[in-house]
Amino acid sequence: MNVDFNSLDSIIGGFGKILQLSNTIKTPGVQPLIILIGVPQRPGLSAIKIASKIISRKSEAGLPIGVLPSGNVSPDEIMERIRIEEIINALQLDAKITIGIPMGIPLQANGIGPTGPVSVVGSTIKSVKGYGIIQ
Amino acid sequence: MGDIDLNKRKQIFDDIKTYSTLGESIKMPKSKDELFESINTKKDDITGFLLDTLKAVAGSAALKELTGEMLSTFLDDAEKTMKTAVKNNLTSFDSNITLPTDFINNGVNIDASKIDLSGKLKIDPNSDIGDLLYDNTNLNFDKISYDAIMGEGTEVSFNNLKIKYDSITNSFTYKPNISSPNINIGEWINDYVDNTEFINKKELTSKILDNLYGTIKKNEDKSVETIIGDLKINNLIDKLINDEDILITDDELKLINIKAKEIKEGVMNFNMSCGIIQAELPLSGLTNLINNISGSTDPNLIANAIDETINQSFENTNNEETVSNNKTSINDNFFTKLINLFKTEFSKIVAVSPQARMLLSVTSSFKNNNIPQLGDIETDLKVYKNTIKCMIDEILWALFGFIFSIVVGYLISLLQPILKEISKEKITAYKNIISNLITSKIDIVKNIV
Repeated sequence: MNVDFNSLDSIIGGFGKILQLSNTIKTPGVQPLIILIGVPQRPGLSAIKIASKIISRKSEAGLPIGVLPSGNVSPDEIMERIRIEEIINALQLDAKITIGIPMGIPLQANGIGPTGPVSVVGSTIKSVKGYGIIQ
Repeated sequence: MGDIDLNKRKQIFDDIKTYSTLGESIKMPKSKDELFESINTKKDDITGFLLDTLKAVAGSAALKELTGEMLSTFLDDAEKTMKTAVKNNLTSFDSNITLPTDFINNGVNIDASKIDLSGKLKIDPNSDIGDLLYDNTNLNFDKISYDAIMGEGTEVSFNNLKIKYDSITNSFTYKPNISSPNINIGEWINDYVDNTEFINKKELTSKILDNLYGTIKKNEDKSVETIIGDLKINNLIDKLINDEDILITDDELKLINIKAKEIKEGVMNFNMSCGIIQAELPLSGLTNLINNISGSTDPNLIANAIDETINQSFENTNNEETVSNNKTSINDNFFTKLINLFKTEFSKIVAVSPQARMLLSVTSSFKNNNIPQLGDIETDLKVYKNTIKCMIDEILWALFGFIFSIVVGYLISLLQPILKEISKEKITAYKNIISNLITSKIDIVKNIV
């Protein structure tokens, strides 16, 4: 790390680099075949399920769970469900997933040409964009 | 400096606070951004920013540790850096020309008051005060200059230099002490620098504490006017360090006057929100401290001895309760001042110490017919701004780098466990994703079968 210690900007940059160390920890990508087979079997997001799990873990933070001594449902737990519902709604209704597929993807295709059946082996020559949603 | 840079500064503290909370092991000081002055100042105060960062990462106690490290580990390696800085900047012109004959035969004559700005050279090294300012175990420029004053009219040799003092004109004459007249300017300067001592730890520590408490100046019985002169030099050096105009403003002059009166009385005033509290360090206290830490290479011993001295300086305070309630704040304030004064006094070694003034007077005479071109200090700092600023930048680069490395050490200690946790978290998440996807795959196969 090259830092000019007579320059405040350079010193700030030096600290910034150290504080960004956590960004250097990366996980490997998941194989496409596993994604293609595994993802369709997923149940999808459920606000109620997420809120329940959060509420059930409240005790880990030393907070009480369940109805209040008065018998009423804790407003905090109701708020938890509302919060998660809103987050999930936003993810499902507002989020836009954009994927970029680079050029050079290997391809093999069969078709019909003016002279009869044609077989093509090669790679894509353009990067393309695709869209997705969160369910 | 624009708003973007101030935001960047704030971001550093925000990131540190986030990691500190995640780490749970280090308690932050009161988490208010306004505690970190360097976030809001438009000035490029490198020391302020580094010290604030240190406090944010490791708490105020780290200031004490840093002080110990600076006065031991850093200074032990700084002499070489200082010699290189002086050589780089004083041998840049005419260095291949043979030493002027006039310099060899007649020497360079200069008024002693232009060399000895603080009046140190007239203090007996064997007196109580002298013992704090001189390193009597080594031959050095200041000690030899004192000897020259005592043996006025007689040449005294030191290194490749001969010094003679004339009491009638109150002036020094410097001549080269060489065996061959063919030596060139660059060789002579390099040879002098290589064989002299710039950093005297005892003197540096004494002067830093004297700037706070006024212990030495009070016992020297310096006049308020002389003390104002000393404080003006400090102010101008700080201006040079911060790349500001070499000019003392009226507001600064008012503060200097107030501080000079405190120093004359030998007290340090702390302005707390609930009133002013006073601290005093008697000569015996300073002597004990210097004796305890002299020659020590143990940063903890030095830091603890200084901490103890601070505590003792409040023993006769007018407001014990306030001191007791604000101990952390007082210590913070004290060590911050002390580290800033270290920077100033450290810079003064190459800028305004008697030895630095001698070198400047001799080198300035080489291109001016053997007549040294020194005036009053304010003018000289303007005239020789580039040379002095370059020397200061080189030695402060080393100092700031040292403080930076200490802050980074604390940062790494803070980040290491968190980075481990993040790694674990990512590995677990990856395993869970794979496991979740593969389980689905097995379910399909089972359904098919």
